[in-house]
Amino acid sequence: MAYKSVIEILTAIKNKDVSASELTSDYLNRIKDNDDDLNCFITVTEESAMRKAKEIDDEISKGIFKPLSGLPIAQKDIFCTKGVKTSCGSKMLDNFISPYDATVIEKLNNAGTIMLGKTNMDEFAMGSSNETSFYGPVKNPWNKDYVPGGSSGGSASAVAARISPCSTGTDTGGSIRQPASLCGICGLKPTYGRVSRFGMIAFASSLDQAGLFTTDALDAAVLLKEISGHDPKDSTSSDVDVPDYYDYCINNNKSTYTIGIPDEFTKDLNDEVKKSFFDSIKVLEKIGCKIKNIKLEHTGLGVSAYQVVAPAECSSNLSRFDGVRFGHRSKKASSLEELYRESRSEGFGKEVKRRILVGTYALSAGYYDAYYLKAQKVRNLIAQDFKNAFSEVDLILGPTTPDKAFKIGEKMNDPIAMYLSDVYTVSTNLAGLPAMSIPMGFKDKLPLGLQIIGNHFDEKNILKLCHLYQRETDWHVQEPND
Amino acid sequence: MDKKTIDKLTFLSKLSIPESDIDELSKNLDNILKLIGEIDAAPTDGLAPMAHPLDFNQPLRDDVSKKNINRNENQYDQTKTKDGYYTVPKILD
Repeated sequence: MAYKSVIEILTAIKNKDVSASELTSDYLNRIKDNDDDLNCFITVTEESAMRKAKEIDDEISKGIFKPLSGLPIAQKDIFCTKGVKTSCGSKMLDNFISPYDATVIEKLNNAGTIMLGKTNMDEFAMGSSNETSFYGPVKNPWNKDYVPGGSSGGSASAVAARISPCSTGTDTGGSIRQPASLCGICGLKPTYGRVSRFGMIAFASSLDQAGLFTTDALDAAVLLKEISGHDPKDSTSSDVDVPDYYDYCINNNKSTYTIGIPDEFTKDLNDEVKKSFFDSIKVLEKIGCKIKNIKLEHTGLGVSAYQVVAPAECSSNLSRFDGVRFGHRSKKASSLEELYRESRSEGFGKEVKRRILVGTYALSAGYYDAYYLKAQKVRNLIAQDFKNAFSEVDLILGPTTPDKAFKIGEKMNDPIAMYLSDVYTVSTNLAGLPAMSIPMGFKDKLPLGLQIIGNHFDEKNILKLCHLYQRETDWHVQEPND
Repeated sequence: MDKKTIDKLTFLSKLSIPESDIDELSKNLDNILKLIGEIDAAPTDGLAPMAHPLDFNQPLRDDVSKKNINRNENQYDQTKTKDGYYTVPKILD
């Protein structure tokens, strides 16, 4: 079956050109054929997927169509799924079966999607290469010696390899956009609060946001509508109206934008990435966009501030993993204190432990003001930079990552080099802004990503600009095996 | 970062680090502290700390209790429970 996009699949289902069962079976076979090599999935839910597909086919035979009826999807293993293992890529949760669904899962299930399985990820979403997973590294389908990015590496690699038409991810500092860039697909991180975090295992609660991977911007527009909106179970989810993003992309007449290019995002680029980026700008100029140079002068401090705020919140969030109620429990402990310490020491990997220690340090007596409080003030400074920029421009553009994917193992012993691969993505999380990465070219046969950042809750214009760009280019339709 | 500080942090965070990993951890933590130390020079006088990225009132639900999860489902892992309670090593002699 040669369906190229979510929209093509939904159309084929609606026209009864293919049944949900045939389609699901086809994708499960693709997973069987490819995933031993790629390692995208931690759990493949073949039985429940085929059962759900049959239910959808029965509904369709009675004329019942839901917005996403019959669409196969891969879910990042950070989302709680009732009755299915939810490991978050960690030994700590290797035995965890969630008693409830995350709101994102519930919404997608209710919209008619069929879950193919749970995707591999960096442990507790802490990583930029998918190498910190307890279940082993994920491979980049463009070159299997290279990382797919992270933390949502399994979700990105699965869509790039066309073994799932779409997938969910989460983005705390770039964990959707960076792997989307390195795998040559679209990755959308919505505004903080646009999508409920209920049932999404927390890493850094003031930064985490659920989002999507697709091959086409219009596909992301269709899916975003279904997962967005206020959730009474998450008081940080916003009650801002959810527009029909797809309709806006197709039918709204807006076709010109004032686009800001921050000097801070382009000055240190290598020649190939710089060329791809400015070639993309030329495409946008051709369709009528106005380009304006802008300053985001404090975003250079983004990684430093992020590496205080995120570990501080993670050290607090991960204190719930104590071996008592759920998750890994050490068999060595003979006292309660030992039970906590041994369960956590056996259950967490090196990177997670390192971040807990950094967070504990930043929050400890004598260091709180110098690190945590100061980082929160820098966060305000960065947010002000964006606020000022959006008074002059509609959208901000830059490369998603400083370079193409790196080799598996290349940065594992150098945490700073790993953290810096998120240098262009973390600032938007600190400011809570929406952003998307779409393919913009290749370097050494590996994909490069273009990042489009919008103002709060302006996903519709990000998606529209991406759609306009993709009408003029074909980077997003290229596949690893072409 | 010296071993005494690492010991204090591992105590606070209920973690233990194998002796063989301490040198590497210490070196990495030093590099991370150097990276995050760059915020020190940022001009933040008069700026409020920003704990949350959006400036809006959180919509709160009505304060009505609901039964979302039943105990049996929550305690499916019977290696940690007995008669509906969680078991832990003995605390008092």
